[in-house]
Amino acid sequence: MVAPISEKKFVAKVFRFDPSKEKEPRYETYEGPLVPQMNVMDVLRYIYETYDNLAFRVSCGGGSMCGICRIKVNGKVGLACTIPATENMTIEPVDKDKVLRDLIVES
Amino acid sequence: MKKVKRLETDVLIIGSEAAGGRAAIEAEKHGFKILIITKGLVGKTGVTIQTGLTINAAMGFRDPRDNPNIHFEDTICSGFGINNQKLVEMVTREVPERVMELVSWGAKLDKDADGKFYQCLQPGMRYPRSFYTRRVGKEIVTGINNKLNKLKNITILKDTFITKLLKYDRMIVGATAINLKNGEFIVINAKSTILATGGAMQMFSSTRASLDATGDGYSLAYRAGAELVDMEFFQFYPNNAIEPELWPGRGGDRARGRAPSLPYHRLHTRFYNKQGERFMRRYDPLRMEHSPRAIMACAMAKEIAQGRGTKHGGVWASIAYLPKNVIDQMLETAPWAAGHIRSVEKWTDPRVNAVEIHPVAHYYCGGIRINEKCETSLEGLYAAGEVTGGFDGSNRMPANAISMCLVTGHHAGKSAAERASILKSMPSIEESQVQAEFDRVFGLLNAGEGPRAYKIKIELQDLMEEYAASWRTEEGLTKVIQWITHTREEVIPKLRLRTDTRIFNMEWKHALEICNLLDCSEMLSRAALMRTETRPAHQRGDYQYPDDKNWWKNIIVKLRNGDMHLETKPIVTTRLKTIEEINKLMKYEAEVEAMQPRWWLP
Ligand SMILES: Cc1cc2nc3c(=O)[nH]c(=O)nc-3n(C[C@H](O)[C@H](O)[C@H](O)COP(=O)(O)OP(=O)(O)OC[C@H]3O[C@@H](n4cnc5c(N)ncnc54)[C@H](O)[C@@H]3O)c2cc1C
Ligand code: FES
Repeated sequence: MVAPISEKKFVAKVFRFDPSKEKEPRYETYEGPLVPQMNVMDVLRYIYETYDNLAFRVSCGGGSMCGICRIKVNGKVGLACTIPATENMTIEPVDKDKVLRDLIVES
Repeated sequence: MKKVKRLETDVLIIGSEAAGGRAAIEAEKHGFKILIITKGLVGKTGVTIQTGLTINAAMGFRDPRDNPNIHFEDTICSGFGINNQKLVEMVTREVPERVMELVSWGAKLDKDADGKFYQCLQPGMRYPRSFYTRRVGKEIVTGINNKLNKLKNITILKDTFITKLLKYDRMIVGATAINLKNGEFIVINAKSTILATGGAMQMFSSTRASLDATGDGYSLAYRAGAELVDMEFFQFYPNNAIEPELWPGRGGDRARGRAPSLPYHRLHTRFYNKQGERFMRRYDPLRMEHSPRAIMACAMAKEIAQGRGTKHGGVWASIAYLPKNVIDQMLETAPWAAGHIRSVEKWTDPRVNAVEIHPVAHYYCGGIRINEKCETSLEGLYAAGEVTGGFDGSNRMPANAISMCLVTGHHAGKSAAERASILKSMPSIEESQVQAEFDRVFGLLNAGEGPRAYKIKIELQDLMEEYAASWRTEEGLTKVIQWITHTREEVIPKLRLRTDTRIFNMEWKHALEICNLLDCSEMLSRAALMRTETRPAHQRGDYQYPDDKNWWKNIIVKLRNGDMHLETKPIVTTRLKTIEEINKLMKYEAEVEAMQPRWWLP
């Protein structure tokens, strides 16, 4: 399977926080190709593979089967693997007060 | 060793889902302290929650001719005679009770208008046998957790990754783990240990199974010296839509099922190769597209390998042969089927066009060798669920996995509790083993420039997909084995992470998982290389026919003197004593099945 040549890009502003190393949370901005049918889980995995050791939960990987990937995108809570990716996204944990690291919260 | 936590328990259960959860319920009955460990969250991590539709129990609600004896025979036919017949006897006999108790704990399974449970016919079954509901995984998880939550003596540690089984002589005495939340190293001392860790679908790049299915349990058992069986038999699901226009950079797993395919036997879907030939006529003329999964997956792989595949390396699936008014009538009367047609319509009109599909890694038939008590070859170690081997033989019948998970879970829990009641004191732990494992695990928590675990995983998945999936040759398998040996010896020691945080360091977890995936892939490849015949779920391009005379037997894999050792053992039989008898039965089974009416799933 060949990757499509994509003109479009996503720009994701992602909440980052490692309480063992940092005092304050911060936002980091990442860019990548935006292709048809891409969802926020794809974006997170793209960031993990291309940029950094980002912490987020994933299990079934798609199809809203397991429900483990709850996340906040542009202020709305949903499943990362079902929310379509868009050109500009702010990706945050469901509850910033309960963050263990990055997008993972106490559950 | 800094920061080590020590825990003691009567029974340690690794895995919290269909098999592990069921085992805990049983073990707790006997009044022992139970510790369940999951590397993620209960009811969310693992494959059980993904379980699609069906569970087998021969209760004859739809056809009174069905019974456990026929379920036994059908399972042996589906497994092409390779199954451990004692395990098949046990599961088929006991599963009705297990399913009914699950219902009594709150799992909802569909009923027909007459108030009786709905049971459907699937490939490999003589009579309708599969209990059904949409998203049956959710119901299984609900039933088990409703029951588990009421029990007192159970502790659950989530986000905890087991890294090694601890051994004293030939006895398993517990395990080591890391707490993924804070990187704490945990040493667990247990009288009995149950592995219920699920499958290893992540060996392959094409799979829809959970990203957690990294075969940890097979590797844990292998490293501890336990015997594994049938490791060459891996089931591919013969129907996943290819999405050529999608971006493939998703950690190697390219079959996340965004483009829906047409459910095959429930929609009378036909398969065609690139020449428009309905190729199943050459593989199973009697049942055609209702043939057992492994026959169809192997057929597709062969069509593709021999140049009759589609442009994107698949085959065509279609219902467009049905007249328009017949499809319209289905849309009106069968909502489930209609739902599928509607979702395919978003991509292409199935009334006119075919969907391009390919087989994807679905289920590990082989696994840890157990007996009817779910004892492994090591004292104190039990296994249940998909991580076990022997029940399925060379190919799993649809809906048999959950049946097997529930029954083996029950027995493993019972046997583990019995052992805990006999052992007067906690067995000793060898501290040198703990130290060595601590060094290995924290040796991997090392930031810097070097090979990355997720990249190695993608490389492994691509190699396995190409050479060890449903079309295997000596040349390809040898390539895989050489690559694995090289990677384990030369690359893994140089692995580096991008950050050495101890809090949810996913790369650290992936590093541990890739070590396990390498072990599983090597076991699969070596067993596949040894079996010089073709038997569905194991297709050799260089030995294209079954060879009952030489290969009606099991291959056992184990660690011996530091090396992977393979040997054969005779099939464990009860009622069906010869392969001739089984072959005769297979022919008969196919004839009865071919005469059954087929319907759209309502
Ligand atoms: C898409 C799909 C559809 C399916 N549909 C059906 C169907 O309709 N009918 C059917 O019968 N079967 C079906 N199956 C197969 C069936 O779902 C599985 O075989 C079954 O759920 C396996 O259950 P299990 O309890 O053995 O393992 P899992 O459910 O995979 O659970 C594994 C457990 O082990 C834990 N674990 C693993 N490694 C570690 C470690 N290192 N440390 C700590 N914990 C660990 C996990 O956290 C988890 O708790 C399907 C499979 C797939 C992929
Ligand atoms: S990963 Fe399972 S629902 Fe998103």
